[in-house]
Amino acid sequence: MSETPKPTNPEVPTPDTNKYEGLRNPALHPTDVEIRNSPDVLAMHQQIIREMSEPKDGVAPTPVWLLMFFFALIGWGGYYIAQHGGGFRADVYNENPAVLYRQAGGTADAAKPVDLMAVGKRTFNNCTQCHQVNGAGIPGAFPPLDGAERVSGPPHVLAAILLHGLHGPIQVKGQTFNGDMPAWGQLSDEEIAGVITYVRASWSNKAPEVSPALVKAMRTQTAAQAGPWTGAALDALAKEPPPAIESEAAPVTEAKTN
Amino acid sequence: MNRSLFIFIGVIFTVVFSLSGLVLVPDWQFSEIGQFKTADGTLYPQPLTGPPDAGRHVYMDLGCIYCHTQQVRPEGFGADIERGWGRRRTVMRDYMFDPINLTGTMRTGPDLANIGARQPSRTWQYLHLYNPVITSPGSIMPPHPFLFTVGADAAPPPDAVALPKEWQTPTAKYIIPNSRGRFLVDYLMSLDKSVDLPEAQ
Amino acid sequence: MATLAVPNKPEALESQELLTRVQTDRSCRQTVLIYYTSAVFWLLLGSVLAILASLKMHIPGFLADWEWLTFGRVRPAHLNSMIYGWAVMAAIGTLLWLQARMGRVRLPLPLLLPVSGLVWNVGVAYGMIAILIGYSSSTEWLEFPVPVLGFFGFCLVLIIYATLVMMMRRKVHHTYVSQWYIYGGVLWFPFLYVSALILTQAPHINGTVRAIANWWFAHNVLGLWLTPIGLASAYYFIPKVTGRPVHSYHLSLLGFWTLALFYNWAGTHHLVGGPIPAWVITVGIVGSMMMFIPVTTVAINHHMTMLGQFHHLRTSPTLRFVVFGAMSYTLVSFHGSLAALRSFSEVAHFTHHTIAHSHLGVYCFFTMMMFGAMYYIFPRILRREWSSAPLIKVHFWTTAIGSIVYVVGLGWAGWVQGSMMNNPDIPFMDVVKYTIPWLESRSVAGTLMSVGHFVFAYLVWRMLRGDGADQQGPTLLTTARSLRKQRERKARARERAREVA
Repeated sequence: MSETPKPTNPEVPTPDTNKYEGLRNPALHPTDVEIRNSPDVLAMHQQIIREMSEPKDGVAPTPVWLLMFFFALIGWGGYYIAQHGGGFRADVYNENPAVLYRQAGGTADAAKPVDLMAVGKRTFNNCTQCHQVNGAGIPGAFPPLDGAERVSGPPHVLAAILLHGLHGPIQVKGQTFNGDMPAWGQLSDEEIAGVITYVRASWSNKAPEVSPALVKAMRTQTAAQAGPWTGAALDALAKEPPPAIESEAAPVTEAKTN
Repeated sequence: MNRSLFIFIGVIFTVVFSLSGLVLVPDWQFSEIGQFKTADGTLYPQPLTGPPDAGRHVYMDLGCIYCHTQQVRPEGFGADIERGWGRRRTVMRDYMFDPINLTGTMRTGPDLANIGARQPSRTWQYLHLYNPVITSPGSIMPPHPFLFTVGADAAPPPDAVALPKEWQTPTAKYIIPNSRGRFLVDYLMSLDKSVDLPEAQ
Repeated sequence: MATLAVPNKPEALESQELLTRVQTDRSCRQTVLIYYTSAVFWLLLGSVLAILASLKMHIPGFLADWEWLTFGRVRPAHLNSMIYGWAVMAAIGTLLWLQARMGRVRLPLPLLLPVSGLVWNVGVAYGMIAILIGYSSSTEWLEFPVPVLGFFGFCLVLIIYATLVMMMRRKVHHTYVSQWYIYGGVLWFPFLYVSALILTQAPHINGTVRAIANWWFAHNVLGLWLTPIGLASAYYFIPKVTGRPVHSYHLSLLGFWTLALFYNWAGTHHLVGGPIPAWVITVGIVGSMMMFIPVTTVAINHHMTMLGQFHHLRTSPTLRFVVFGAMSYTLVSFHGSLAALRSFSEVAHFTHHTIAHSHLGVYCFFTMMMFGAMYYIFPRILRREWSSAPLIKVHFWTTAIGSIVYVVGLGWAGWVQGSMMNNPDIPFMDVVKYTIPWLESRSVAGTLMSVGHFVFAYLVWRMLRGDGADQQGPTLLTTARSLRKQRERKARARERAREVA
């Protein structure tokens, strides 16, 4: 213990090291010499008020309300882990306790009426990278949907494009585009019908809506299709009548492809 | 005097405790799960090899993770699935072979967990990497011209990608990706987590 | 100490302490100077990189042809320069000085520790070049390639050794709270660095476990390394400048051990919604919420110590920065705990809100704390004074205002950005467009902060050059008002002295 009790009054300055000039190298610190030779007590004091003593600990007790708060917090922590801990299993990702203890087996979703425009607008998020939010495409690279002839044309052609993609040169609004459109067969019938409905009714397009049943029928009819369509094959398809829509799987007519 | 020993033990204990609990236990738990056998008998996922793996290094050294994530949050938590970034949430199994974690924490740009399935057009990828504003007006992604050489010959080489009319200059009518550019797009094409997994609900 | 005859008077003991203080400061001079000046260099470089990265966010074509200056490289270069160059080097300089001061011992290893400062610089430079030319490990906060561990490891071993030696040789039996924090931080950081490096890059580890290890590390660098050093500084400088004891030893004790216990577990809240089993995230969230305990105790302790002493803020540069830092610590920790919750994270995760939060932590808390420490330590080890009080004021106000604009602006923008992103009917590009004005405000704020850094560097440069060597008494931020008060106080004291006489 090298500390001694000291007045805590900050008005009374702690003496500093200036008494020990011998420790210093006067060449490095010319001020020290000056101070030593100076009779000016004020100058001396200025150096002394430099620093307080080393910090010490006080002993105020921990407030009880704080401890109560902490115990409450720890209680909440335990409850939260028990409720949302997912049983500490590596294959449980949903923290909702209801999911963990739910019986296996799906919940039968009641068939609800679907707003195809709303579904379509969301699904169109997949398309905006090329066709853009305003449907104008990128001139010279990706064709527009706004005002395009095929978009307002026979809907089964659109379903066919979405299901299998498109490859090679096509004519849109008098311009030639030579590129690839990926297939979107992984989307559901409802989503494909939605997105077709959306593009047919957005911007300056005013074509009627398309039912998921048509997409379903088209999916069945073109099941044998291996690759993407070409522009010529689409023109041929457009001249054919749309597939018959039935609730059961329609008898498969041989798809005419390239 | 033994206070310093006491602090020493306490300090080491707390950090080892959390390392075991948070990191080592999940690793050990997962070791019993392994790949998933899909309906047609293939195993998912597979480790990356060849060009996509080389592209992963390009993805890493260009710092793509500072703006793009590779993870899809569950339905009802955020809008990742509604935005079309994936068909399902991502789970541990999707990343089991990743030699470096690239799931990311920032979405200045969109999520890329399924970019290979969402945007399979290589042309789009090349144009977008060369100058993102060509395909995405308003984008603040930096252009990556150093992944390409440009040319203006009348007869472009077979791997050239034509620039749209208004982006052409007398010296740049088409772009040719260099090897790193091709690898990077190979990697992006490989990002596809559309296999359905039982634990991803 | 035998070289000096100390008069055998009651004040002799105290004189002994003053003598030790001089010797301690002298023994720290070279080491601390090397760490501090290097830290300031990396701070300047990091600021330039930060402005570059910030400009690139809203002017994407800016310097885009140079691959090594592309955004994805400049940003990690900025982060690493600030963390491993500025923050860690400033922390090491501060902790060595504090440890020597509090133990009343001289700094050991007078030759090796200065060398370690140089070696650390080589390590940071190596890592920075590696990032800029494309050899980043692409693991956030661990971008430096593995060989850098060789440089850092060498230095850290020496620093652990020095800290342990000073702890053993200490002349005061009682260990002050700052000593625990430093001791803990010095042991934690190397452990974190090595184990995280292994777990994020060694083969045969699940990719998601790498993510957990990554955020366990990145969060703990802040919580178990920068926070302990920052708090040790606050616990030292607040009572030191005000001359009052720290409010409560019991609260200090509670604060330290709950920090050690809970902060460790908080890291996985960075992965909410990610491909992580529910329980790992739940544990992380609870760990983060439990941080209310140490943070509340520290806040009460600091506030009660400062109570009645706030007038010192007018004059003392050190206290001004330290109190700004201590208040930011409370704020950033409370915010961080709440941000860990799932409902908060759903919006704020993946947005600029997180960036604002991390700057509130590393900048408003830690960096300001280190500025405060440097304003105190530089004059002691060099035995010179700061050459200009107005420039110190410029430094304080530019950095304080800049960082507040930064944090508030980007925090708000990030929250709106997250809300917009969670609405699938808003096109993604509209979200990007919304953030651009706020990104521009960030560039302005960042420039303001950088101006402060350059002013500070200029002050340090003048101090190294020897300006202020002939000044008597500390450089205080004396305002006209405090000057008048000081004069009045003196007059009163003189009056009293005359009466007594």
